[in-house]
Amino acid sequence: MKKKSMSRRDFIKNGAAGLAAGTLALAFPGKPGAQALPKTRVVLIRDPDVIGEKGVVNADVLRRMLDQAVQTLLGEKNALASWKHLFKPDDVVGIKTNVWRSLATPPELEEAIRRGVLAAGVKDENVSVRDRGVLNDPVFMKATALVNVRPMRTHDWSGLGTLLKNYIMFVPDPPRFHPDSCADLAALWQLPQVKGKTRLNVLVMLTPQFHSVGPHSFNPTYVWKYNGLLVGSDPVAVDSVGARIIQARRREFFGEDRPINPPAKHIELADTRHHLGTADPAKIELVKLGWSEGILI
Amino acid sequence: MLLLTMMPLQSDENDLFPVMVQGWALAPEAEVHTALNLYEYIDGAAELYISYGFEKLFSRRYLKQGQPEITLDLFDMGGSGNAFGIFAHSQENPGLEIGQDAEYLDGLLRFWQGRYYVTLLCSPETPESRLALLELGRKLAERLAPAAGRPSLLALLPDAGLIAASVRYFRHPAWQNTYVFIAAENILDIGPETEALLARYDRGGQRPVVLLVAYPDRAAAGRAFAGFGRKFDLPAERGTAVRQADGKYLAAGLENRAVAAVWHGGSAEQALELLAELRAKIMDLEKKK
Repeated sequence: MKKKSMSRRDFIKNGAAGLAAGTLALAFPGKPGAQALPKTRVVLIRDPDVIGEKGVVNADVLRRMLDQAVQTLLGEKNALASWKHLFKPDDVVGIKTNVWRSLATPPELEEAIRRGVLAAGVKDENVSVRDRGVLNDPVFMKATALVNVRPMRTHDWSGLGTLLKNYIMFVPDPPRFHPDSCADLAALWQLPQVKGKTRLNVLVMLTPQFHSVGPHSFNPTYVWKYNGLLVGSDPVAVDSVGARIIQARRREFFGEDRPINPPAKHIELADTRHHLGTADPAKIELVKLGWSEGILI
Repeated sequence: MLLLTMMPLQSDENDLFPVMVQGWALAPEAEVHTALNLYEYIDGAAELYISYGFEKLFSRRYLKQGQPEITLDLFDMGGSGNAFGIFAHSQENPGLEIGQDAEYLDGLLRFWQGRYYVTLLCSPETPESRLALLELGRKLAERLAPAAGRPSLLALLPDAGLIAASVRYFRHPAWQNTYVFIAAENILDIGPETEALLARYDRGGQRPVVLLVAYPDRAAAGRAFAGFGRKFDLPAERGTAVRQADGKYLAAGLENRAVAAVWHGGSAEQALELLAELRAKIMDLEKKK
C-alpha cells in the first residue's frame, strides 16, 4: 500500500512539512542509538515569566527553560548529564548566534548555552559565540561541535528566518543562496565547516516576528510575547514546528488566511531535496512543556 | 558589515530633503545605494525591493538632542507602477493624506509618490517623533515629482466589495501567494513582462480572492492558463468552478491576454459570478482600445 504523506503543496500551504527521508543523524558522541528514534523529537517549552513587562529577559527563568528542554530532548536524568551527553571536554564548540539588530538572540540565552557547554567540561578558550565573522573565528574554524541558536522571524525573501538559514554566514557570498527564494539553504549544511557538527538547535520563540513591513522588515506591531523556546537535534523539524506557529499567529492576527509569503520552501526542500531532516509533522514528536495559554500548536 | 557609500547627492536630490523639522536637523552624511549594494544597507530584504524594480536609494538621517534619530529612505523605483507596487506590498490600513497613499505604523511612515517610495523610521517612537515624521513626510511629498497615475490594470477590478487596502500589484512570482497558496513554482509565468494583481473582496459575508495576470500577448496568456489549469485540475469547459481541498471554490478563465482567477468560500455560483465581472471588465477595456 502506498504510504500516505503530505505533498509539497500541503507543506508550504500550511507552513508545515513534507515527507521525510529520515531523522537527522545527530552527532551524539557514544550514543549511536539516538539516531534510531522512530520520530524526530522537538521540545517546545514556554514560561510566562521569562519576559518582564518592559521586555527584559529573566536570565534565570530562561536558563531553567533551556536546561529542562535539553534534558527532555535527550531523555537524561538531569541538565548536567544532558550537557555532558552533547559535548566532550575536548570538543571545540562554536555557538552560531544571530545579531540581526531588530531581533537578535538574547545575550542571556547565549550565556546559558555557553554555561551548559562549559559544564560539560569544554575549556573556556574552546568556546566562541558569534554570528558574522565565523569564517574568521579560530574556534569556529577548528570546531568539532556547533550549537545553532537564533530567533524565528518572517523574512522578505526566504519567507522565514530559520535555523536552516542561520548558517548562511558560513559562506563568503550569501547572495549565492538567494535564488528561488533561498530554496536550497539546506546545502549550507554540507559545508565542511558545518557538516555533521551540529549538536543542538535552539529556535528562539520568545518574541517571534510573524509579519514584515518597512525598509528593514521590522515593526514592533508584528512581534508578540510567545515566551518559548523550540529545541531539537533536527533543524528541519524544529523549523517546521516554528513555521506552523508563525502561520497560526498570522491567521489569528489578521483574521484570515495569510500564507507565509514568499513560502518558506527551503524548510520542506531541506527534507525532500537535501534529506537533512524531517519536515513532516507526522514524523515529529512534539513535546510541550510549561505554559500552554496561546500555544497555537 | 555595513559598508556605507558616502557620496555627494546630485543637486536636484539634495534639494528634496528638508533641513529642519520639529527640531530634527538633517545630518550632512548621505548614503546612496544601487541594486548592486542595497543588501549592505538592508540586511536580508534587498531582493524585495529589487523584485519591484528598485533603481536607487537615497538615505538621510535627522538628529535631535534627547530624541531617537529619524531615518529617511527615498527609494527611486524607476516608475510609478513599481512605487505603487512596493507600497501596496505591505499596506494594511492606508489613510493618511501624504503623497499618493500613506500609512503610519508604530514609528514608521510609508508613502509613495510618482516614481518614489518613501519610508521614515524612528525607533522607538516618541510623541515628538511621531509629529516630526508626519511633518517631514508632508514636506518631502511637496518637493517630490508630481503624482503619477496608478497602474491601469487596477481599473479591471470590479468595484463592488473591493477591499482597497488588500490590492497587491507585482511583476515577480514571489508575491503570488499573498492571500492564497498558489504554488511554490512560477506556474503563471509571472515576470517583468507581465503585470499581476491580487485583491480581496467583501461579499455576502465571504472574503473571496481575485487574481489577475496580464501578459504581453494572448499566446503567452494561453500558455500560462494551461499550466494553471493543470495545476488545479480545472476542466476545459467554461463556466465551471472547482472545489478545492480547503473548501473554497476556484473559478478561472482566459480572456484575451489576461488570466483571471477567483477563490471563493461561498459557492461555485458566487465564484463564477465574480469571475464573470472580471471578464466583462477585461472585454470592456479591449473594446475601448
